[in-house]
Amino acid sequence: MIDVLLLLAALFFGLLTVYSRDNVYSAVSLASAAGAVGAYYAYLTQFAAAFLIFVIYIGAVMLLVIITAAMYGGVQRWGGRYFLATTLVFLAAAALGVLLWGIPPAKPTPVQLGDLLPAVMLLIGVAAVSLVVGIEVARRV
Amino acid sequence: MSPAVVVGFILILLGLYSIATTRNLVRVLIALELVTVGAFAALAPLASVNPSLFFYGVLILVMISVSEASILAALIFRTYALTKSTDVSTVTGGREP
Repeated sequence: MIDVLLLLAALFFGLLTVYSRDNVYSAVSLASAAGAVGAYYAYLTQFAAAFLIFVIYIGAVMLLVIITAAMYGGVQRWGGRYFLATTLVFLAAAALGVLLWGIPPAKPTPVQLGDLLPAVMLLIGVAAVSLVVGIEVARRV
Repeated sequence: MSPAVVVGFILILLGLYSIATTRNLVRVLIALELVTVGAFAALAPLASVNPSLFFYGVLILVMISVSEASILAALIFRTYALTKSTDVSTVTGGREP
C-alpha cells in the first residue's frame, strides 16, 4: 500500500512539474518527485541507493536546478504568496506539534508517537526558518 | 509489468513531452531531470533481482544526471549572458541561413 502511495506521489509531482507555469514551483515539484522515488527505494530497503538519491541527487542536482530556476523567473516576484505559504506550513507544523505533545501514547501502536515527536519538532524548526526567509523575501519585494 | 516501471515510463514520457513543447532552457533542464527521475523509478524492480547491479545502475544514473545538469546550467548562464533571455529561439548565430 505504501509503495503504491509513494509511486502515486511521484507521479503527481511529476505532473505538477510539467504543468506548473512558474519555474520554481516546477523545480520544487521535481525535487518532491525525486524524494518520493527515494522514499520508495528506502521502502524497498535499498538504503544505499536511497542515500545516493537524497544526498547526491536532491542535495546537489536539485539544488542546482532550484537555484537556476529561481534566478530566471521565480517565486520572488510574489513575496506575499510565499509569505502566506510559509506561514501556513509553520502553523500546520505547530498545530501537529501541539497535538502530539498533548496526547501521550496510551498503548503501543504500530506508529510510535514518542518517536514521531522529535521529527515533528525538526519539521517545526524547518518551517520556522522558511517563515523567516518568507518574511525577508516579502519585505524586499 | 510492475507499477514502478509504469510510473517510470509515464514520467519519462512527460519529460520528453515537456522538452518537445518548450523553448525555455530552464524548463528543458527541469524536464531532463524529470526524465532522470522516471529512469530512477523504472530501475526499481531490479533491486529485488540483483541489488548490487541496481546500486551501480543508480550510481551511474546519478553521475549522468550531475554532468547533464551542470552542462545545461552552464548553457543557461551563457545564453542569458549573451542574449538576456533563456529562450532558445533568441539564439540565432550558427543556424542554417
